[in-house]
Amino acid sequence: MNWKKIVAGVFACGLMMGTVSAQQPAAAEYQNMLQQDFVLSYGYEGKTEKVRITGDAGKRMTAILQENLWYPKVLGTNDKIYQFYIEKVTKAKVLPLNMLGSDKLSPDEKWTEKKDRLALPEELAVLAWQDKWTSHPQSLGAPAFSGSSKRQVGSDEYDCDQYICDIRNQAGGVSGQLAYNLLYKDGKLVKAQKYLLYKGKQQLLSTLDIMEFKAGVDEGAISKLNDVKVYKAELGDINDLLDNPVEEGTMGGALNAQK
Amino acid sequence: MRRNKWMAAAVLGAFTLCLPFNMASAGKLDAYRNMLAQRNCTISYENITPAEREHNRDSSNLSATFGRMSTPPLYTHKGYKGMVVMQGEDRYVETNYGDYSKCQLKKGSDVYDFKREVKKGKETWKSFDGKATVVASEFQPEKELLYGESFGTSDVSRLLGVMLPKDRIPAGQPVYNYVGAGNLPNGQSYEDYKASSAAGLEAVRYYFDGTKLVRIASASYSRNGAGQLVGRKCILKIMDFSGTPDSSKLSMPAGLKAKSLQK
Repeated sequence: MNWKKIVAGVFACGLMMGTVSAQQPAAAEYQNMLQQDFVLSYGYEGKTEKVRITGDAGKRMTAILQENLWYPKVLGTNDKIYQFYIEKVTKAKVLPLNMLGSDKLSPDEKWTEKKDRLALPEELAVLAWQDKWTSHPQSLGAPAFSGSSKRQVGSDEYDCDQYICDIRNQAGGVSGQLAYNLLYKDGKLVKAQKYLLYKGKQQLLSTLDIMEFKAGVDEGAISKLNDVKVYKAELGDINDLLDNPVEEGTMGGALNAQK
Repeated sequence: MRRNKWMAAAVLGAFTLCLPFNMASAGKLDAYRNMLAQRNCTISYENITPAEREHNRDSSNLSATFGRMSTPPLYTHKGYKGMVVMQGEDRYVETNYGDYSKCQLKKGSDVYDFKREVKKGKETWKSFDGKATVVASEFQPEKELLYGESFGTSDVSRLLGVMLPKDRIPAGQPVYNYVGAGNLPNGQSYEDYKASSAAGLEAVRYYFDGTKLVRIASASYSRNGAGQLVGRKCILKIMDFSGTPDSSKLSMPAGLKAKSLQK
């Protein structure tokens, strides 16, 4: 067995104070939500941005909190991606998903970065590794549940489920590991922490604070966008040169057409 | 330009004729692999292939690109020079665009990012926000473990990365296999490597003058997210590649102070 794996395993155990082999009962519910429909809002410790993701099997929308209001940023459907921007009023640009890698796209519109906005935060992706909007580095192995325990963070005690992902190298070995601690209080998932286990050391990389995480898609947030005008993405044609975006209708129309 | 097309054609032609050998080692390149495996080396190169135009139209909105002034070749289509110095886990990486260089010095767990500028013939080094002191940031191994080590631009990182030991290359990156070696009419010799995956194919040729590595040329074809076939080539002229780290590069340049995170 790879000695690095053994050392990493020892450190993984060192992160916990007593191990139990089953996930929290709520974990199965959250896994279900992420596959069906959910509302999730979160922020990272040390960063001001707050993000709200709502979605179901067919679509997903991400919004950012600004001055106590959630502003839509990106919406992904089965075949299209919309990005929202403000030019006096909220407007949207649309791109068919199958054109995402095209070299005709304007790098200023940053379509790939927008699509990445629809991904689940890494710490929660362990509950939905196959999520279609979330991608993982190829070197990162799928998460393995490694145990439950009580864990102290600051002055609070949480029920902690830990998941470990191996970082693999081309020699067939494990270069390091990422450990994700999902922290529950009274049966609700409230925090998640990510650690790097490398060369015998554990380094805390991030702490995710969950503000809201419940079942059901927020149809209200999506229907609020009905009157938003939609324009085509820049595709390097005459409309770009003339700085004259082509209007495609309104969000309401586009979304109704989807149904 | 015609010569470069010929080279790309010759490199690809070589692959249709050669049977791939899954041999790990190949004579002349071994000396260079060892320098990278020992992590004691100085590499100085010039990328003589102009970078591809990134924008889909020739005009570029200046206010949108101001924040990206650290990546000028994408907008000026020029080649660039660079340098990599390694001594154990200490490392210096520089990408040089003539009057402007982007530099990074890693010493222990301190990482210093700074720039070199030439104004009116005078060379100065400053932090990216124009100060005379660079505050270190903490080295984050996570990104390197997941995505591989950076030696400058992505082309340079990839072509030098082919020579790294396998336990330093993250799984999922293309695997380069030795294909063959031969001699060229001008007296130089070459060794060929190939990587193929679902994403595409890359052929890399290492050119030697005797046993001295003088050039690395690569031709690659891949399909982008929209299913279009994209070809690119990259040619690095190697000015220096030796097993002795240039220690002058492993400390801060004249006039620039370092503020370490270590107490």
